[in-house]
Amino acid sequence: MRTEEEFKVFYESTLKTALQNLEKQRLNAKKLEGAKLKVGCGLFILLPMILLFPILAIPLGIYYLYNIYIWYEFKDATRDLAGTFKEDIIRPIVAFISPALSYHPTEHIRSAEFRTSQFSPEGFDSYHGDDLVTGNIDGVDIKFSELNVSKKQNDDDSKTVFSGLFFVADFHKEFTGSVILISTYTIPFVNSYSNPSGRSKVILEDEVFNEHYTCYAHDDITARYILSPTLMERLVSFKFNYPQNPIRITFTDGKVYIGIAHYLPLFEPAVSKPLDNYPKIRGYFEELNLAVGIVHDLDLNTRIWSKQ
Amino acid sequence: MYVIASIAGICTIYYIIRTHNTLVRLRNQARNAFSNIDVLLTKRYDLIPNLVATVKGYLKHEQSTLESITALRAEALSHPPTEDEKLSLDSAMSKSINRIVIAAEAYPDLKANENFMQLQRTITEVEERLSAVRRSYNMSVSQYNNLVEMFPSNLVAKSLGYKQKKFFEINPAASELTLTKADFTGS
Repeated sequence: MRTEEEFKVFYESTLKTALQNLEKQRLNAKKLEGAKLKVGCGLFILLPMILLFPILAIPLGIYYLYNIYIWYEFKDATRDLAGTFKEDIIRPIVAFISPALSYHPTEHIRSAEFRTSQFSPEGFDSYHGDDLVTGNIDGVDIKFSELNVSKKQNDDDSKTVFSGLFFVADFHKEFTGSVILISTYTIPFVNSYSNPSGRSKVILEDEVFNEHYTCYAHDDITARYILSPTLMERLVSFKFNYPQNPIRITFTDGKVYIGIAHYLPLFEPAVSKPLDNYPKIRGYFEELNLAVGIVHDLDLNTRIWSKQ
Repeated sequence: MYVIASIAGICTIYYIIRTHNTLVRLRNQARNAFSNIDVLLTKRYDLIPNLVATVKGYLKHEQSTLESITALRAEALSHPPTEDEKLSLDSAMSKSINRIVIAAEAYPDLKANENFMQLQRTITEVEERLSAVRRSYNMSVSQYNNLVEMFPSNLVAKSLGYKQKKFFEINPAASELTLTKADFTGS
């Protein structure tokens, strides 16, 4: 895994210039941002004014249409900025973390794989995502992307099934069935993952692990086979990487699926704030570095079992 | 007075039935884990002749370990072992296998032997599965023994003839074989 010191050098030598170039693009986009507010609130101000001063109807109408046009321009500029940002900043960061990784900014993990992970036994109606990273780390095929998955509750309301970083990797042991871990998370305003049905809760011998995760499985022997004492320790340490994020892990079909919930877009630039902001860019690096580091954190690259 | 005595009697009978059922459930859970152990122990016995044949040409200083593991296998197969015998045989065999695997580290030719590498992977898998079953068994036994020992459930357990069960000895070295990634650099 790359260290923060190495990233700092990379930032100064490579990213800083690209960020300064992007900053001009951001400022141009920011100039158009006001139109959004004018279009939103315009009708409430313009309509009474037109009623009071009918003579102003035509110029105010033209002004309003002009702002709608600017608003569309702003949306295009924001999209362009995000596209350039991902190409010029996120792609080099991914390559810096490991040349064995490839980055696909507009793609995401396929819905069939999400289904296999059993994150949403009731299914889902809306499935979006981007920022797919794929590659092979020390012999382990990995991929991860941002996903936003929701299910309609009724005509007007939908429930978020998953929003955050979704990671898939080969798991080194052969087993049948599935084992699901849900991190214990007590912040009340955060929607926790729903408990899987048809499985029993398995109490493991590691009390610290039981404090951090709840384990569900069809049979407790498979759960114990997958969750060796070492892996349980590693999973506890892994959870400390994400103190604010609920985590759900599924072991099934020879793979491990890890969902780390986030409530804001992960790799999108903010138009309203300067881009050349080291802590912010370091945040992107840390997010990607941690995801790639899962292979080592959970020791997925150890191949001492008969599964090849 | 009669009402109080009746309520107390009903509560006592309810408690006895509940404790009895819990003991039966935990005992069956442990038995179930034990039956899984049988399957894996048989698989392990089947691997031993192959392991001994593969390593005996290399491990000149471990002849006594090889002889003891062969003897343990013969003993296990000579007659159906009791539960207690299985526990001690399993522990002794885990130690011997682990000793052979560690000794093999010193022989690069053996480590590079394709047959040995494949065997080592299979052994690791069997040992890890055994470890999982032992942990499951021990968890059930621990809960069962708690009921047998703790007051007031111990009174019910004693009167119904439930006795403490032995644990599987979990040897940390054997529960997760001390194999390293370097073992398979040649694979």
